[in-house]
Amino acid sequence: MLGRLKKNVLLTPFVSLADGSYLTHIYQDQDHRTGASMLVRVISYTFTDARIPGAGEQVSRLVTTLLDPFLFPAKELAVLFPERWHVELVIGEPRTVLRLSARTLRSLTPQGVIQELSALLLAHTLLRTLMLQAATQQGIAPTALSLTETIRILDESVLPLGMVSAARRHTMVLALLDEIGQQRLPKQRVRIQARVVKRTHSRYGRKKPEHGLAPPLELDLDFHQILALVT
Amino acid sequence: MKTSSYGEPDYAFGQRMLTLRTQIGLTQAGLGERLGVSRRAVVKWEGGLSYPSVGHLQALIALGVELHVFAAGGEAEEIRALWRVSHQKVLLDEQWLQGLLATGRPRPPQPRRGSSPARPSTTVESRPPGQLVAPLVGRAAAFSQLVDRYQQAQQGQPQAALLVGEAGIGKTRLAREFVAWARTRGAEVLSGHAFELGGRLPYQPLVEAIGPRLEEENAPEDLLSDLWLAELSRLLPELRVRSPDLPAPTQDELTAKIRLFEAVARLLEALTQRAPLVLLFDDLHWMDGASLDLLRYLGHDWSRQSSRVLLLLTVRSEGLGPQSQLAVELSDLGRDLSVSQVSLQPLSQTETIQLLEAVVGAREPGEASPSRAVAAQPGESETKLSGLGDILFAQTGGHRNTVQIRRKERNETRRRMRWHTRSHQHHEKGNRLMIPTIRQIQEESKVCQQIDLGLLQEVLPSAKIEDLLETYQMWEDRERKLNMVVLTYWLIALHVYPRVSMRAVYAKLVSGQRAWRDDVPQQTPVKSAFSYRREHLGSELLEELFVQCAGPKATEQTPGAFWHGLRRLSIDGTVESVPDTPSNREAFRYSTDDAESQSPFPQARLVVLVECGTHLICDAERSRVPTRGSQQSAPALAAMEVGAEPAAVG
Repeated sequence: MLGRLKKNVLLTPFVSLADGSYLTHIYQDQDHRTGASMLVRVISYTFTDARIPGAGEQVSRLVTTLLDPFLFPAKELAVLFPERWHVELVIGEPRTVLRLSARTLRSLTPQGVIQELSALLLAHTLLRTLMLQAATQQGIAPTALSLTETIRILDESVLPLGMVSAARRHTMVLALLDEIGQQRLPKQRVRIQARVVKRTHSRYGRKKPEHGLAPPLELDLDFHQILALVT
Repeated sequence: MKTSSYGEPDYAFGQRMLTLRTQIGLTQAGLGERLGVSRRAVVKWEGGLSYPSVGHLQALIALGVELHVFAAGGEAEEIRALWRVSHQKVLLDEQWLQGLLATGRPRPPQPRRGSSPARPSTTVESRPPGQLVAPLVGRAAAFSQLVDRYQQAQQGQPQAALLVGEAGIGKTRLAREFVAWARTRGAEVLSGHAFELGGRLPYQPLVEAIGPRLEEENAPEDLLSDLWLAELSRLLPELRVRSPDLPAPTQDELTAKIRLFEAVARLLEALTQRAPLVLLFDDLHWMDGASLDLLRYLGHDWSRQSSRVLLLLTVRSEGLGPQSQLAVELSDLGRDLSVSQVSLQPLSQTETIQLLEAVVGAREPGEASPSRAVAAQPGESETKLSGLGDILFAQTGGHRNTVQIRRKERNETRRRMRWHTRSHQHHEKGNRLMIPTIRQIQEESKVCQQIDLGLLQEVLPSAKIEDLLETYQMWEDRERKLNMVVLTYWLIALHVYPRVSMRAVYAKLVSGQRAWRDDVPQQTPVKSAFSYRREHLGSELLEELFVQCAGPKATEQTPGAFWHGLRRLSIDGTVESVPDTPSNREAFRYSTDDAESQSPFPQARLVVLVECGTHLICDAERSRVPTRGSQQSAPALAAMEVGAEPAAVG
């Protein structure tokens, strides 16, 4: 397990290790140092490139349960940690690629929401499994393949695959997997971005509880029938 | 199995089912065995998540009657209440109910109303075998209106109800059903039918109504004095035969008519003393002027005496134009009685198909083995259906809706006939049949083969879904366009094509098969069909499917997936906005409870565990509390593999 520590957590080094990290105990109740405790290794690092804001001053601390400094060198662990953003990418994939502009899910009941979420995660899982198969065929990392292109190839293949016989279908599937494997993403570079978003600005007032959550008033009439001139 | 309306479970109904079952004294599984449903279905009934189907509810009620669980003397009321509460689409069959209660145990003798003349007991007509009886579908609203009128009449406010509709739409049918119902409530029913010739035969419907009633009366003189009977004998000469010493009716031409009217009025009044009266006159548009005059007179008399009368009239909407004579007469009548119009609309497509299916189910074709029903020869099933259509047409008296089926929906019903599986056998045997699995149906006819998700079907074969369906016992009797397998694929495809509408996604999936098979229906299901079926499918199946498909799949050879022998995983929490409905708000809170700064929509919270090398989601857990990621990760971490190395937010 490898995680980042919050800045306000105080730790006292217990044993210093050869690769620059140290061992310490962390407790369930860290402020009072009581409760169940665990022996962990702490690694501190900072950035060196001057272009990056906070380089040299901002120290980030990682805590890990991998205690052996020779099997798991500290520098390598520190290099590995930023790859945590893979999870953010994966969370973003169903959202941006598979749902585009819809603000919410579409189900009106909790059961429907759960059904829809399961289907969404299933769709993502199935697509990624497909990409894994394609990548294994080519011998490359699955993260190098493009999800949007996979969807496009899938879409284009639905009609032809439905029309052919079973034998031909098998060859076609292999060919399609090959094509998916060709869609490579460019090499990922180091990206550093502050965690902020642009705020959308709207001229209109915000909906408040007193505005009520009822649907708008809809009358099955023409304006002829409800308008009257005032003299 | 039907599901309850969209939204909250119907707890009241569930409670009712629970008490019924405990009174019967069976476990959920036991009850399921007896009725031929799964235990899961009983669980859903008692949880208020679904309502039993007609057959099952009937079986349950029969069981209850057999074991005397309903309150003595009031079973019919209880059963009716139960039927109402369970939101069945078909009205409770009174004859079936009476038959059931009659055979159950001897009923205590009802105290007789009135005096010595024995009232003819209500006989339950036995249905002639082999005859098609179509259930009364889609007329619940009209029926309840009539019930209201009847109840008002019972209070002493004479009512008139006018059933208006096009020719053949089912007015007479509805009237007859209602009259049968009224009979079981103890009302006196007289019915007369005006026919086309009747315009030249004055008082013909009246004679038809009163004549038989007087015949079966033991002592007509109890009802009317001899004087008035004499007047009636103008219309009913058989009265003279029974009582030869009746005085002659008056010969005075001026007063003859009014005396006749008065006689009829007094007769009916005498009848209403004993029981509320329902007077049914069919096809008013053919009624002669004399009878209409009589009706006006009667109306005036009833309103004066506050009799307990319900006058039920059926009329064709063509005959009731704004300037027609009939409309004028009726408005006159409306001055004395309160006349309410009940207009009958044509049945919707679903109701028509329901009607047809109910009839087909009841018909019990002996030759329909599954392979035959799944007709390989299209010609054969076609003739079967057209023959059926003819029979239906004749039996239901030229039912307009049947005509619609034959004209417009022929393709739809032909396809349905073809995939009609063993449901009739299921009902017939009564006990738990082997549930027809999709593999028992002929290869060519599998509806789910019509859908193709292309490559995704390589990764998620339909066998997997079918296995889960068997585990959850969610098979249905009938093959449908939107069966569970199709629905599951469609739900997944909805997310693969986010910009495409629901129906278009379905069309996309079917497009491949449509190109070379000609039994794929042209019509895409309507939106509400998708919502309905989605609700039916529920969420457990998909959750389980996800659990089965998800998981870390990288090997040591996959570049970037492992590090020093450890699998790289990553964990984080996320939120998804859901639509702002009351039930969603209840289940998924906003980001905070503070109304000023909360999220615009309620949010569903997930904790997601991801494999970094492949970007596969290994596990996803729902969490309820809006907290930071660290607190949520504990339960998810428990599910991790040994030796896996995740990077977490601390």
